[in-house]
Amino acid sequence: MSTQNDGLVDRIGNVGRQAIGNGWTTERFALLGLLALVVVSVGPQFQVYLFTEFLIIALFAVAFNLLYGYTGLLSFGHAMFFGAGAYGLAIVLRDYQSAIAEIVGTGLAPLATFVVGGIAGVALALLIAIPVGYLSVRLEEIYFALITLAFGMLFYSLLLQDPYGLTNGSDGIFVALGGVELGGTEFRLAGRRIYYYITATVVTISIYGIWRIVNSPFGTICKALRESPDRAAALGINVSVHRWMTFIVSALFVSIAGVLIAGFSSVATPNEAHWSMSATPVVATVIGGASYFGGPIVGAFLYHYVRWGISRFPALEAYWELFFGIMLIVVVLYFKQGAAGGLAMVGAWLRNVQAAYDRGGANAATAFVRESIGEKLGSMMSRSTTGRSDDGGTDR
Amino acid sequence: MWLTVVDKNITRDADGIGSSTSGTGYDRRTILKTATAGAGLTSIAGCLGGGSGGSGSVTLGAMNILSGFASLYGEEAERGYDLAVEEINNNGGIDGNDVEVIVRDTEADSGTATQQMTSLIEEDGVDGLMGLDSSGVAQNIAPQIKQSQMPLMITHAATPYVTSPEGESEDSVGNDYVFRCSNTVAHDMYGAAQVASELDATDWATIGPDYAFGYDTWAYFQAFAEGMGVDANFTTEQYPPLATSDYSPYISSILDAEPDAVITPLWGSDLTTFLGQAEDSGWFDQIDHTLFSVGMGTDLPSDGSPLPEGEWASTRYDPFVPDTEENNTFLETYMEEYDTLPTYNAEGAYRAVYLYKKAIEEGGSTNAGDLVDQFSGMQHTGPVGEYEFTETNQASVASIWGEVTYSDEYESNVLEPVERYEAAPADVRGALEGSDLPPGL
Repeated sequence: MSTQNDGLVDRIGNVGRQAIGNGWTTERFALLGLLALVVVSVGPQFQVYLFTEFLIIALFAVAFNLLYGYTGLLSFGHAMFFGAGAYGLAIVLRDYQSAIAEIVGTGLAPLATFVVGGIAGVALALLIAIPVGYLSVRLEEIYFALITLAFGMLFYSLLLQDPYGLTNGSDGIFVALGGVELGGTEFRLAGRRIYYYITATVVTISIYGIWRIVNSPFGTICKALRESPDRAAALGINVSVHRWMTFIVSALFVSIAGVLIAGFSSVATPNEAHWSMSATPVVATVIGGASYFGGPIVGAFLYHYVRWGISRFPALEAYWELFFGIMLIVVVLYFKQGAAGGLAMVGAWLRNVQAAYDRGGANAATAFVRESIGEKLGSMMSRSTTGRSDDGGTDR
Repeated sequence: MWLTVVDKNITRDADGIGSSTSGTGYDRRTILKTATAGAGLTSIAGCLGGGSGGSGSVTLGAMNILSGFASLYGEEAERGYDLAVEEINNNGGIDGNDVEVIVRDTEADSGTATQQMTSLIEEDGVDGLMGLDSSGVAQNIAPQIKQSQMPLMITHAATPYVTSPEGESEDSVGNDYVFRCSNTVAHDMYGAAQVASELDATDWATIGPDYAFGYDTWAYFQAFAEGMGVDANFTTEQYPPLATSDYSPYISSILDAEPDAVITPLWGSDLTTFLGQAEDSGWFDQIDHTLFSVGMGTDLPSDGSPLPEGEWASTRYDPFVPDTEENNTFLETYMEEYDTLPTYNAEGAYRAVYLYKKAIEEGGSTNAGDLVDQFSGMQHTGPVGEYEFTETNQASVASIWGEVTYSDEYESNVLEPVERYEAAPADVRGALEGSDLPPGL
């Protein structure tokens, strides 16, 4: 047993050493990320809970960014799909659990219902995304944002209207994930760690799927559309169809996040489809950096944990939007590429400091630091006085 | 303050997770590159010490609406908690220990409330929970309270289903851990039916908020009226959504039906908006009696006493009844502190803290199981008067209705004359027989 453990530890150590020796490849970074996910699961209960929610928001933001950062379409109605996922699961759990129990037996029923509900949530989002996407992608920029906002609020008010007693109005639907009996073992799906494992697995697979999509020819076309729809059209790409497809794919992944949030918070309420929920991935992506694949994840992390930090202080909690406003202003003014871009920038700068140190020792390094900071401050001042606008290096 | 928390995280990281990697000699670059993942780990590793409920103090968690259109409810409740905490801590605390109340915002949303509940239980390590203003939220929270096995004393939300044992009806979610020290819709409507029986009115209508509370109010009012033999016809019902800004279509629908009287459970800023528009449309000239079932809860904290004089309003606690020393002291202290009459929401919150004090002192423990044992069937006296917890964990409080009258002394609306209808469980159950509505007590 101990040799096995040692072997594993050695191997992990090797990966770590190699990573440092050879630079961080994506694979190694991903592997350590997965390891971190496992480490989190042994943390204190509440932190596992908090991290689970972060993962769901991260998936929401990454899926949203497929349309925004990669295709150049700012949707303000993605909460519609978030809500669709949540309600799909909630309605199946409420109305079909006993029917499913008759088919698969009571022991497996909660798990089967969860899976069926999840599929129903995604299917519902698909059903909405096809027509909504078809109508919306004909528009661009602010018009696209407004029409998606309108569709989103239409869906929201439909949930409030409680059609055929399906959505239970503003009270929402209680989502009770039951206990599963499987081969003599029993566990509660909603148990803190079990649900974390489910979420971590689903989110990891989904984000990996989105990663594959953005790095496929499909994703390359998305980027081409973002840079210049006209040139892409000249190359023979059907702009509307491709945007439509991207819209649908993005909506599907958002609905997966929606399914997870319903199980997480034990309830599906119309709030999950409200426009302010649509703003969540927008804010997370802008803070994190839309031009990086990991940007929305960094942004979701900051969004979630800064908000949690604020909520520790009741006096400040009432004004938490104020803090995000300030954060957004700082990011938009000084970090065009978001926090992820800021991290990369600081990383590059530190490498330069190191290089200066290697060249001429401590004095050279200090001189470089002084000079670069002076330069940066100078450029900031001139920006604020001349009001020169910078498009963050992206041609929109 | 937050910075010190971060510092603690980093130290923990250094002797915890960091130890496995310390030998490999991270340089600054790698540290920066792993900042994303690392930040996650540090904050996770650092929060073992988050609980503020150290030994020697009692920590209670409260969940109320502190933001949005119903935030006045949370603010009123907070006054009640603060007053009780101050009094208790100045008088030797609970068994010699200080009590602390952590108030969190539910945003009137079940999802947010669930998160706050989880945070209070797992992060702050509270000994018990209380509060809840929205019936919808209460209904979604009650089953989760059972799962987390933490006592909850509801101080405001009035849906009968949370004190109706699971299985009694389709929506019943009552369980051993959920108690309520305030009134239910059943209480309020039991009294409303009594008022209706004394009024010269036969055609009744309702205008209520478009969620469970609005529907329940009308359903219970009809059931009690029928069960108690009130001569009443039920003509029309209107359910504007929460936070409606234009009530005119709903108002004209009601006026078209020409009822003699209307019962309305509108509350908060919805009620004040409605009142202004009803006044302009000649509502109070055409309709003989309007019964505001949560009227005083909105009227007292609002500016300018919006309820029109001469109409009927309910409260769940009247500042002048009963005329006991306890109530008078509470009224006096409250007026001194906040310069306004106490609402039932503030009184309910105030009483919940004292209920915990009594349960902890008599049971000698803050253990959840012991608290539940103590609360079950507990007899208690507060500003509202004497009451006990019924088999379904519902306080046997009275239904209070009265005529809205402006008091120059208090520069505020009061109920004068005011009537207390003792809603004894047996009577309420009897009156509801024949309907499929659970009494919830």
